[in-house]
Amino acid sequence: MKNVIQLLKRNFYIVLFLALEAVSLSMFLHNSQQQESRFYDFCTGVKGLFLSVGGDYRSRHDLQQENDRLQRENAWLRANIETSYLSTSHLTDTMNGDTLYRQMYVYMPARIISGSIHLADNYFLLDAGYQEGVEPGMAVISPNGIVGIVNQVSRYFCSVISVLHHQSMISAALAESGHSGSLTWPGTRFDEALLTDIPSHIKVRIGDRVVTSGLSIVYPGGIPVGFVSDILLDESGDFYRLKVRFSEDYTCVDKVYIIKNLFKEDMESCNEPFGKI
Amino acid sequence: MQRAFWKNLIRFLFLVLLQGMVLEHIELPGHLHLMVVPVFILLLPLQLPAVPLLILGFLSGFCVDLLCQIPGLNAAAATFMAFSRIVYFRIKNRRDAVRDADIAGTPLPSGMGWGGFIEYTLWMVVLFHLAYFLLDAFSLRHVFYTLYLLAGSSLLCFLSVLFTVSVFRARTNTR
Repeated sequence: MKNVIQLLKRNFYIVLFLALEAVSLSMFLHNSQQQESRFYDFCTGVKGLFLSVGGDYRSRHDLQQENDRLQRENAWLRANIETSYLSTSHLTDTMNGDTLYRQMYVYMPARIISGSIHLADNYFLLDAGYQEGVEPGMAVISPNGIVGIVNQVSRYFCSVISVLHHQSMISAALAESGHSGSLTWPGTRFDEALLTDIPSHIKVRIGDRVVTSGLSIVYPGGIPVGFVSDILLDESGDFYRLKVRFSEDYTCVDKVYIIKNLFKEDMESCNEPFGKI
Repeated sequence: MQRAFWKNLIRFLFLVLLQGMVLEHIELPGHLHLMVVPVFILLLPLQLPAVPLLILGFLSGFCVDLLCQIPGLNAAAATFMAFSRIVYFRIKNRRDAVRDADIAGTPLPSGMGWGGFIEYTLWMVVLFHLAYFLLDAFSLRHVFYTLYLLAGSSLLCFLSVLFTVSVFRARTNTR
């Protein structure tokens, strides 16, 4: 017994090492499964307080460029405003009036105060929380493209699963032909995604625009995603594997919009006909 | 003794804040990372017992995690590095039959010789980055990309250690 205690005493550092590693790994794995966690809320809260100071300075510094970009963005919003509406009647020949359309999506402005693009799974932290009506599952877009989906929400901040995340799967379509497929991130380059499930009999050219398909309850249709940068076929030869260059540069994205679908509960109650986001 | 404590505390605060508030937000060419937290563990006094060394390693990583939103990643890598440091010196001291009186002060080229210091730094830096990037990738899906990140970031960290030690040698080797 004495020997055992002595042995333990002499090698206590190994036990401590294993315990500390277990604590670290459990924190790490817990986070990678994106479960609710108090630790995470605490981190985002502390970090948000620190970084919003730096973010304020940055936003003033880039004011001129921001204004130009916002103008372009407003033009885009005006041009696409009908995508934010839901047609409540398909008998448009016989009926007139505003009651035909109901507001479906509303946009909440927010700012990215921190984020990563070089990890295997990337997140952004936004300066909007449940106090402003942000809920998990809302889509986030930027003036030039899509950003991700809200994951966790604290009072003043929320974290967003970036499109640069291995679990990110977005229903995207070719703007020209309208054929839709699944957009995923292979995890290699931060400016490139993969669009699959587009049948190979469709004509696709490098440079074709890719937009959100609208076949989901999260993203409205027609939001720019990127451009086809390379055309490959899958193993069966029946479907394309299109490499898509993102239209947004995630290294410098700052202002974003959180999109709320006012019909989300209605749509979900119909058993999610499209299955995925 | 007290002076060494304050010196290490300031080093700890400076490196953790530099890592968490600055370096984590700087995008280097080729997606490489510059990690400076290993420098803190590298330069802890040689006479520090194993248990405080492990706890300090864990704490340094954990503080960076708090600032970087990746709970556990830096803590796991830094604890692993602290453990590797204990094992490294146990093996080395047994092999070289070093007297206890020699095992004191900050591990620096002035005490260990440049050869010994470079060997020690390389082992520690590579082991830290190995733990970090393997955990980050958490699969062997892109093993060559992970190896590239490991080699590139280790080299950057190694060069920054050599630079720090060369520049501050005159001031730090007084211990």
